[in-house]
Amino acid sequence: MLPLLAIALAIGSGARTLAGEEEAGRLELVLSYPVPRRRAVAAKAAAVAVEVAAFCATAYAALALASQVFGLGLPPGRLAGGLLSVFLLALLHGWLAVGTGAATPSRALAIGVPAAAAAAAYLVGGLHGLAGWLDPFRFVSSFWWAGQAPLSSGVEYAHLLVLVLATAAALTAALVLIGRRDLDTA
Amino acid sequence: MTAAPAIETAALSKTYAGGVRALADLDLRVERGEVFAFLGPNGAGKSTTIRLLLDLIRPTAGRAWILGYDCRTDSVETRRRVGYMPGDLRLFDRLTGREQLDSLARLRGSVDSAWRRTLSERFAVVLDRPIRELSRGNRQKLGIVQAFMHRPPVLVLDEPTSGLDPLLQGEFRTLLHETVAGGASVFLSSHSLDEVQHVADRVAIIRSGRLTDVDSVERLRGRSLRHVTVTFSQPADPHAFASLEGVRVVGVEGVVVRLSAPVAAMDAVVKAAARHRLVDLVSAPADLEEIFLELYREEDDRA
Ligand SMILES: Nc1ncnc2c1ncn2[C@@H]1O[C@H](COP(=O)(O)OP(=O)(O)O)[C@@H](O)[C@H]1O
Ligand SMILES: [Mg+2]
Repeated sequence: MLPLLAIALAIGSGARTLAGEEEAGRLELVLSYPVPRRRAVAAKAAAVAVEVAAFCATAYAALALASQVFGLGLPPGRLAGGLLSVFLLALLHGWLAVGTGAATPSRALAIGVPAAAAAAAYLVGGLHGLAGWLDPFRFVSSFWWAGQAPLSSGVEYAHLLVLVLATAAALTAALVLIGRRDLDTA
Repeated sequence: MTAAPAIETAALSKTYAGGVRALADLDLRVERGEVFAFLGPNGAGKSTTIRLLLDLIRPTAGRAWILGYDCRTDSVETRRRVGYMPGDLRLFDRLTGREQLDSLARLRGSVDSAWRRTLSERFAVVLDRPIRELSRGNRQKLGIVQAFMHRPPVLVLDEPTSGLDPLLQGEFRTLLHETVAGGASVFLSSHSLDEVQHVADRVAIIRSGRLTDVDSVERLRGRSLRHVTVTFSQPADPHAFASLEGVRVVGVEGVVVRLSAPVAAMDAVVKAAARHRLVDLVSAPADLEEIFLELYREEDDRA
């Protein structure tokens, strides 16, 4: 549940901050100022990261407290690892939303593309063990790399590195794509 | 660099993704210290040109420079030197005017805050209410302040006075005069000759993405049209008018003769009319679209 909430928050934030602003026509004035487009997009990506990080920090505090109160006995290190994996998973999709907004000025697409990617990854990550033919595809599932049950069984930090690389790739794509097109002014 | 004009374009062209040819082979040169009006009806390509200058959209062909800096490859340098007022200004509705200007000033880096205050006072800008509560005119004033607040050497203004009340239009004209007196240049788009004729030094006319004319305001005004309705006491012969340079007889109904005449021909029109006994003479300015039509007629005649 927590990863899905975090992803929804990240996609909403990423779509609003770039495609949403462009659709509302507010990007035109900002980009007429002496700010490189890349820097404007980097600032928006950073804002998404801050929002997701704040969400994860709050979730960490709440879970740590609940563990104390109800005596769940979650080791703080494992909890931190689990939330790091949630953070990366959400940030990946938030930055995919920014990247989609950088490629095309549609808020609907900036929500739809990363949401579809998340849904597909979720299904593949959850079903690959049951449907054998899906098994080879687990490597394209962000959920698989994030770990199936990070809170109970811990995370593979080497696997999280794959998420870090994918997230960096999404940001790089956003920074490249924003420079290549017309601002939508219609 | 010092010799570079304020704005220069060479064969600047833009065809939008949908195939709309919005601008074709635009060659322009705006000198330093002049107000240059860019005049054309709706859909002529004015905003397209301006967005190309600011690197908001990319040309299909051709190049543009501001103060010698390439608008494509050096766009941060060009935008640093430009104050821009969008034709369709969109601000952050949740912010107050002051917060919006603060945020834009931070984006600029350095802004003369005393000058910003002076501008806000001169235009009676509403600073402490959320922008969503402001009228179009009050938003437009914020647009003016943000365009001028860093004292840019080049101003690019896309139909800046639409929505502004007449008193403030006068204040705005004064501001433009001061701006060019201080050595800066103004590129001002408009669809109304009346709006620019008292501020502009030169006027370029664009229609359907093509530059049709660049002229001084005086010359253009001389060519600008009047609708003249002459009422005689007796049915009169309109041929005396038809032979005058640039004059067309639009209609004759009994004692009433209707003409279209360039301002430059008004003296001859009045003298020709005065040879007969007059009941009335009314002269009204034609609108821009009619002036364009007349210009095209002249071009066709020459062709
Ligand atoms: N983003 C766009 N996509 C497609 N066509 C456009 C776009 N913006 C403007 N146009 C078209 O280009 C032409 C010129 O538009 P514009 O430059 O806005 O004219 P003006 O500012 O003189 O009214 C018009 O036919 C307009 O419909
Ligand atoms: Mg326009």
